[in-house]
Amino acid sequence: MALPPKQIGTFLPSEISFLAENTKVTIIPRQALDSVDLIGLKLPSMRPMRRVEVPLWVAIILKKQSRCNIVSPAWLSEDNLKKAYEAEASNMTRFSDKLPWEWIEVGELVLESAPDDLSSAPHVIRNLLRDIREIRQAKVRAGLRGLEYTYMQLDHIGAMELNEIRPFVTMTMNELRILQNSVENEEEQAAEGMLPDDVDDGSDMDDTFETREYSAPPRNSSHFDDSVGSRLSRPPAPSYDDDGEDDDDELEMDESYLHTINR
Amino acid sequence: MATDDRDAEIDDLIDNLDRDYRFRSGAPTAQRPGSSKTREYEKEQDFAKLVRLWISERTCPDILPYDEQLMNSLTDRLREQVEFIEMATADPEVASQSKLKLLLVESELERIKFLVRGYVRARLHKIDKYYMYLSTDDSDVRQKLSVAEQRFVVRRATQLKRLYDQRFLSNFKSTPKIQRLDDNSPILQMVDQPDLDDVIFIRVLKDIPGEVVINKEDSIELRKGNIYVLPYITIRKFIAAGEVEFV
Repeated sequence: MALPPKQIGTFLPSEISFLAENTKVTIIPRQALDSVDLIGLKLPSMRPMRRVEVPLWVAIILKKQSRCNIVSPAWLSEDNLKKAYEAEASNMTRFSDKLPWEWIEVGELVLESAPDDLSSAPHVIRNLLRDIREIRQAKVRAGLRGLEYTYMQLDHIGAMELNEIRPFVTMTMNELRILQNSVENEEEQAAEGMLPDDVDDGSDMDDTFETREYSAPPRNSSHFDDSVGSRLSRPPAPSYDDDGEDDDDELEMDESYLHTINR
Repeated sequence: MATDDRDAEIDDLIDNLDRDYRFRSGAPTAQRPGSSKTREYEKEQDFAKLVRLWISERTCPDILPYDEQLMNSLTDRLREQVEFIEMATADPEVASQSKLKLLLVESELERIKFLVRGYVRARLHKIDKYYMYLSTDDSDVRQKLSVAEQRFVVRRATQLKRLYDQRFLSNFKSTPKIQRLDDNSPILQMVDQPDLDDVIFIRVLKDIPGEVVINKEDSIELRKGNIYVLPYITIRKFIAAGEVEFV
């Protein structure tokens, strides 16, 4: 009610892009403009040809009215992007540190609003960005296969890339943790032989993992029903007969999820 | 002339108040070169804080403390800005002259409003979901809510209770045990509360000495710039200390 399901625990791509619009960029004004007092910053006074730093959203407004040129960020040059691609290709288990946090969003925004201000032809930059995106996506996919319930490290991932995997990763890790906990509980009980009498008052004689079944799954699955697709909304029922690690099911979840993100 | 002086004096007083208010928590107050520079810095800080609040509230499983001070000063500035726009547009001559300026002011106003709204809505969503848990008398929990939010929680709880009572709970008069809405036996917890074990995405802002243990068996080092997905509970204290942030 207060928040549409797609915005619970995560962000829309447009929201990630909105955040990226706050990145500072350098512009070359074409005409003078007095400094403007805003709520979140004071825009510097502008004089023609004198470089100033402003948030990207201001640059886009000015650019649309042909009142400035945007100095394309250094990392968005053909040269640097080629290097970044090399770096990405040379190590398939890590993301390179050649790109900023908001590289996808800023790249797209600059390409769209100021294609004529780029240091190389727009289609060259666009293709390079796409190549880098694809190679990085492959790494994300590989990383998802090894998803565990404890933690995952994602150094140098981009904001948009992170947001894309967020619903799937959160849901999977939370479910894996619940499975793990119930396996541990079961083992503990097996070791103890039986439940201690003083804990329960007689009516609660069920196993502890039954508790999990009641309380946890509804809460967690309701988070992500809409964001990941109905196939994933109900995780495979925990099977208490084996060791709880059903690799096949996990892989299947990966694949179907990737269909949805790759569309 | 005299009135100008007095105005300046009052302005100074107000500036000082503002500064004392903000820097109460021990930031250096000794030198203060022409208040405009500090103002500018504060503005950008406040904006950055608002962005962080929004991101945090959206991604954190628990409800975080309401930043009343920031929200108050932001709503004040929003109001000022709206007044400015109204004044400027009232005079058609001025309006045509400063069209661009107005466009920038209006765009920013909308951007800030979007964030403020997003922040409040993200909180409202959690308050709605965990109203039973939040309507306890535990002051630690209640303190996280603003006055308006506290009022909302209480009203929601009483209204729902009344609705349920009238519609069906009154039929179970003979067994008062099943009339309860807040039964918290380990089998079936009726009070939905935030799961602090849920994983979150974080960025490490500064090196943290030692290792952090996760789930008893794994431990990791937190170095500046690292991005991790891990259970909220293991990292909560570093977030509160500002050493780690939500992403």
